[in-house]
Amino acid sequence: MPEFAFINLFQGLATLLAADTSVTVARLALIVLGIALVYLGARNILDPLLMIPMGFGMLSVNAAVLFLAGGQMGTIFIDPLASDPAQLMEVLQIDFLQPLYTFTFSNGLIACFIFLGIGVMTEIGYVLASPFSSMFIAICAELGTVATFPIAVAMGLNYSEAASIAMVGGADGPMVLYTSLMLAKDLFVPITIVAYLYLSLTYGGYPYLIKLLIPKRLRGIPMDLSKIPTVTPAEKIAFSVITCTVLSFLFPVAAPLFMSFFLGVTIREANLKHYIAFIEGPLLYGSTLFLGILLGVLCEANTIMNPKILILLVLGILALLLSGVGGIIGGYVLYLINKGKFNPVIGIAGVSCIPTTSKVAQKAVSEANPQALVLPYAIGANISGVITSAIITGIYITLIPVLK
Amino acid sequence: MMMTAKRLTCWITGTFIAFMGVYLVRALSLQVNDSYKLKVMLGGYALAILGLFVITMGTRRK
Repeated sequence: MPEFAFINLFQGLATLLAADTSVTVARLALIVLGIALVYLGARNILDPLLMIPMGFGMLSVNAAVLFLAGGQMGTIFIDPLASDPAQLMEVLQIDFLQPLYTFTFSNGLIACFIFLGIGVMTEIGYVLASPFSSMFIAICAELGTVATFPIAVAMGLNYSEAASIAMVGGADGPMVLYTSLMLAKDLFVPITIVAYLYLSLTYGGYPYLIKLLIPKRLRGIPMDLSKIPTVTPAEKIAFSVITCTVLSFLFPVAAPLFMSFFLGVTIREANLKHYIAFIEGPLLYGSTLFLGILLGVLCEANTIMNPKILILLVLGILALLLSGVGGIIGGYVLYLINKGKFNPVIGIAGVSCIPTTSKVAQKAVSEANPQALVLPYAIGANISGVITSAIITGIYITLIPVLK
Repeated sequence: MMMTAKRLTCWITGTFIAFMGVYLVRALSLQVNDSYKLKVMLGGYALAILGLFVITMGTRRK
């Protein structure tokens, strides 16, 4: 009679005991982290739309490691590194999330879907209403995406990896996903996870940065909303069409992002109600749900354990911090140019984590002066931040392969 | 609302400037010497952004 090991009935536990100690510890830590993300998401401390599915994916994939054919350990969730067509065809029939990953995630489609959704929800009129201040703040708030690049290179990353992690400073998840997929495919899993984890922290962290850098007296400066001109839908559509064409000409590699965003803006302005309902509802929420699940299941210990992960964690938070500081510096410059009639808190909204940083700005202002309303200006800066982040993405994707 | 001549001028001028920038980046920079290539490209990007700014001026009304 063959020897029977009782523990092999429970393969999740058996693989835990059979693996290296470091992998075992990492799996257990990721399970705990997954549970923590679900809890923090459910309590609304972190973004629940992304964190709950991500936490579930993370805890499930690390608990569900089993012995596969040939004695290898793995899961039947996903194989992110499968690239050979024959191997991929086999994996597609076994791993239940592989079709979603291969056909929407690894080609950047899900990032474009989310950008389409952002476009549909975006009121581009706020940018056109105050283009100079909006774009100036957005450019200043790209400090993290620009300054982190040389720091990352100095810390030992190559140009592609440095550019990908620097994009975390743009605070735009789809953009980080897109850049890392295009430039640093080997590191895109940890970079994207670092990005989304940090982005969910902006809502909690940036208010402290605002309080640290801007005194209460300045946080309460009211903005003159009577100066905001009205822009007709026809003008917004014309602007979107021309801008999309120009940017696509300049940065063809990032054209899918530009097209998705400006198509969304145009659908909104053309008032195509059925499209708006579809994109705002099923498409955007579906994409966010599957993005969360896929990010979670990509956090399998063997995939994410990379010697560069610590560097990425440091650079990610540095990029976000620098962008926040850059935005606030931009706010201060406009405060000085406008002789004290511009609220520098709006600067934080240049960090394009739309609409989170706009809400953060308005909340900080309301705490200092309940009568002050800065949201229209903040949204303008926020949307400009999305556009400048997409431009920086285009610049990195275009120039890095030339620099190599 | 009828578009005033001033705003129409902004739209036409802005579009022209933006596409001039595109021409510099996508066409002219490929034809010049390597020493000028970067300058022409940067000039093109600046022109394209300037053009978009000029267009936004065309959306302003009192």
